Amino acid sequence: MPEGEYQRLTRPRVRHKNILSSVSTRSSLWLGKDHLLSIDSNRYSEEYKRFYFRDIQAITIRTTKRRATWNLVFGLLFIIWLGTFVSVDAVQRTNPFFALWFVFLGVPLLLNNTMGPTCATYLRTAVQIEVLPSLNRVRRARRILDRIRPAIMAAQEQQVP
Amino acid sequence: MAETIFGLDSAAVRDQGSLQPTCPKCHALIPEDVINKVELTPCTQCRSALQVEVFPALFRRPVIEGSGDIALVDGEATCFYHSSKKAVLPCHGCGRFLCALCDCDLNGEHFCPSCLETGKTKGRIKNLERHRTLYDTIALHLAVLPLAVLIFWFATFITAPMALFIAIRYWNAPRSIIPRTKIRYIVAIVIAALEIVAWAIGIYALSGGFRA
Repeated sequence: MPEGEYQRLTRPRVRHKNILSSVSTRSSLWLGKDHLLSIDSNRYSEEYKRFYFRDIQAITIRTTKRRATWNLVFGLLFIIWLGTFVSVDAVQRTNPFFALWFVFLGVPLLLNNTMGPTCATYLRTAVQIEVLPSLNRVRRARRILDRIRPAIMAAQEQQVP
Repeated sequence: MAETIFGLDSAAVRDQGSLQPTCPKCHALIPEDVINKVELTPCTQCRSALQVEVFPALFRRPVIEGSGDIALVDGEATCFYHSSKKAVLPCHGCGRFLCALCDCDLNGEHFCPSCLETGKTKGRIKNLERHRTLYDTIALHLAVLPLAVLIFWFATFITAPMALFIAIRYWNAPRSIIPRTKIRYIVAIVIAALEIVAWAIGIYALSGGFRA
């Protein structure tokens, strides 16, 4: 890989710092020649954090309950939708409003479950433990870990005293 | 044969208790048998499912840098900042001789503290850059957003010249650190120019220019 060029590892995901930043700050992960680059962007500016392969001590994946929470929210709304759909007469059921709401609720519910369990991923170096918000699904986190593991091991092979 | 982790005796690793990874939720020490397993294993305290991947850097002892040797021979190259200390290498930025104490190693390149500070503040050393402003997005949004939110169309009277100014002024400014084209600047310039032309025609028409 030419120096200074990056390959995308993950698409931007929301970084939860506070209510305002949850709306605006999105974090993505990029693969550099000898480091991982974490970019926090609010669309008008970007903050960069570099994690050099030789400094990465541990990566921890911890499952969270976010998928269950969203399932509960969308499930309840879906039940309300279903109740309304059943209670109205056949003519009103052809109203596009019902189809629209079915898509609005059904698609996120389906995606939330097909994407697999949610997680929080932590990267540890000698001086910090950094959360990587873009690795928020176990399957994705493992895939990225499999991709960067050889680079980290190669960078650290000669460094154990 | 003794059990080893990354070529180190596991007993020696165990002695470095503080190095052992902890659960991010409850901060309990993660047992050795959980480390580097491919499946999720529950934390012994909070029961959160964890997968912990540990790398050799966790067991690396910190390197203690020397404070610089004293120059013993007359005429020997000495550090620019410490005239009594022996120079070990030149700074990659300014070429000044540096002793072991002043040498700041950055990815195999050696800098003096002053070049490191300058590189950080002026963005000369790319690897130290921590922030960039995306002027192309600012210009594009200034040109487009008032039109997108229809009730603010009149704001283009101010935002269009602003978008045009920003696009031209920062045309050569560094964009995002990741690959990105100038398409946002181009679109911003085209839309802002059209808005300015539209305003000019509108004002001309209102002032009765066409009737004359």
